[in-house]
Amino acid sequence: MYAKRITHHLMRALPLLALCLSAYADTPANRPAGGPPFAQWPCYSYTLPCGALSTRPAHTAELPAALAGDPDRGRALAHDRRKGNCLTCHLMQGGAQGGTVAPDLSQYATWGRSDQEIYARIFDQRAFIPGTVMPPFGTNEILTEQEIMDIVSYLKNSR
Amino acid sequence: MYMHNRIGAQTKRARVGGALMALALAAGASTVAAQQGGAREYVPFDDIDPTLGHLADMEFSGTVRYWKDEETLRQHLSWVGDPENEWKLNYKHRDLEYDELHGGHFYLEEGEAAFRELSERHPGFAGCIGWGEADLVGAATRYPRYDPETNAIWTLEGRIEHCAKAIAGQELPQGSPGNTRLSLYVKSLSHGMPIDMDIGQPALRIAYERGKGLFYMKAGQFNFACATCHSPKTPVMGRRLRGQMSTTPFAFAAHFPTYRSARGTVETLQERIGLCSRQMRVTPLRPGDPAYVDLEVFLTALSNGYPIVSPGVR
Ligand code: HEC
Ligand code: HEC
Repeated sequence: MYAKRITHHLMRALPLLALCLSAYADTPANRPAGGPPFAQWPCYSYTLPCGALSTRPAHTAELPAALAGDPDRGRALAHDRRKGNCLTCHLMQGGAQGGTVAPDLSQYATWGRSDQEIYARIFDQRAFIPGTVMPPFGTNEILTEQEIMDIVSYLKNSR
Repeated sequence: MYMHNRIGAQTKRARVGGALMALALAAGASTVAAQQGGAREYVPFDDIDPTLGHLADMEFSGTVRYWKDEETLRQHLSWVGDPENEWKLNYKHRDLEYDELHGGHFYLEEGEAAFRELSERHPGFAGCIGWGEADLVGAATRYPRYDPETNAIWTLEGRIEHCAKAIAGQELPQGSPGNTRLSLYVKSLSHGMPIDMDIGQPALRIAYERGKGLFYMKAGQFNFACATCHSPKTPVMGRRLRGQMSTTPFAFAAHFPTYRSARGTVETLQERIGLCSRQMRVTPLRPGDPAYVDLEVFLTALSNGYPIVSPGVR
């Protein structure tokens, strides 16, 4: 019964793409390959285990030394509604219809931020600004380390 | 320019039960943690006086002054399509489409036929929905309501499920088309009448506080709360999220069940909450889940005094 209902919801989430925050609709395609199910994060239930989970604490990430980013891949990831979807909130170079919620990142390379800081901010902005609305992309496994590195390279080329 | 929302750090575990707690909640403690265990982040609570209904939005987003009645709304119709201002109409301009023949009207006809059929075979059905009164004009304005006999809070859809089972032996689970059709019909009998949920009733008031806790609680993979997008304390409300704009949560409840023109279906308030949950990557719950009932009570209190639009369209 419950499984049926979830399938039901999934089917409904598809046409909803046209509606509110299409970006964040959960379809199987929206999940990182082999990514964890939502039950790993807090939910509203008074009885299900996810209803008793804690928010994952803010985390200051270290730039993984071995990784190198690809700016083209980074741009694609940042614009992809199923991945970073940073455009929902930010204006970014090469992206149409950016959001007006957050700072304009289209000349971000001129801000003088270090690779380390940019990486850590995307990984978990809460480490810098508690209570930010920006999702903790690394801590909550929305993006992998490599994907975040790619986006860092893209932003480093945005001037 | 906006105020940063700070982590509420409300790791305190409030527990229901205990008349003392009930009183404390009813007294309007504005820092009620949700009922769950676990340390959670919160968007800071807005100070809302739930006895003011939709007019509490005056102190909140202030946009109620533009959509509070049809005349005012019509004066601001030039804002439709204007990215700076349209959100201030709170989507209420779409209520003016009521007179057009949209899909909700067809769905309503089906609902009326289904209701006739059911109450001819089972004369007690209407009285069960109407709490003893078979005339259901105005009945929908009083939902969700508290029943001391069962010590339960009934939403309209929950009551329809219950009465269909108890009176007709029929399964009409919440969220099923059969249930939603009937709900839309019963709601339409109150079209134009102000919502009048009894927020002075202690059990409803406690449910309101629980629902408020859920509304401000961050959840899911994106770590969003409903309030992340629907509170003026965050930078999101009134700004563009790619093409979309989110608005104040006041008077949301008035037009549900709503015909969604983009999807061609009718959805209930709780189905909407489930859909928004998925977008937030939060495990969705079944319509009728106690947590969703609490959210519905919270949102309905913020709609009190606003006239029902049924069949609504969005
Ligand atoms: C839901 C909204 C939202 C989304 C989605 C979002 N951000 Fe942000 N971001 C913000 C906000 C708001 C700020 C400004 C800091 C604050 O107020 O919390 C910010 C700040 C930043 C900064 C720091 C700017 C500085 O001060 O140096 C970077 C870098 C950034 N975002 C990158 C990204 C990237 C990359 C993505 C996608 C992978 C993304 N953001 C997705 C809302 C968002
Ligand atoms: C990231 C942003 C975001 C979050 C988080 C969010 N919403 Fe929304 N919500 C929106 C937008 C944008 C719309 C308007 C789009 C539309 O009508 O399709 C909307 C519409 C709605 C509507 C329908 C309004 C109407 O007039 O029909 C309801 C009800 C609602 N949200 C409730 C909630 C609840 C409850 C939650 C939390 C469980 C929530 N929202 C979380 C962005 C959000």
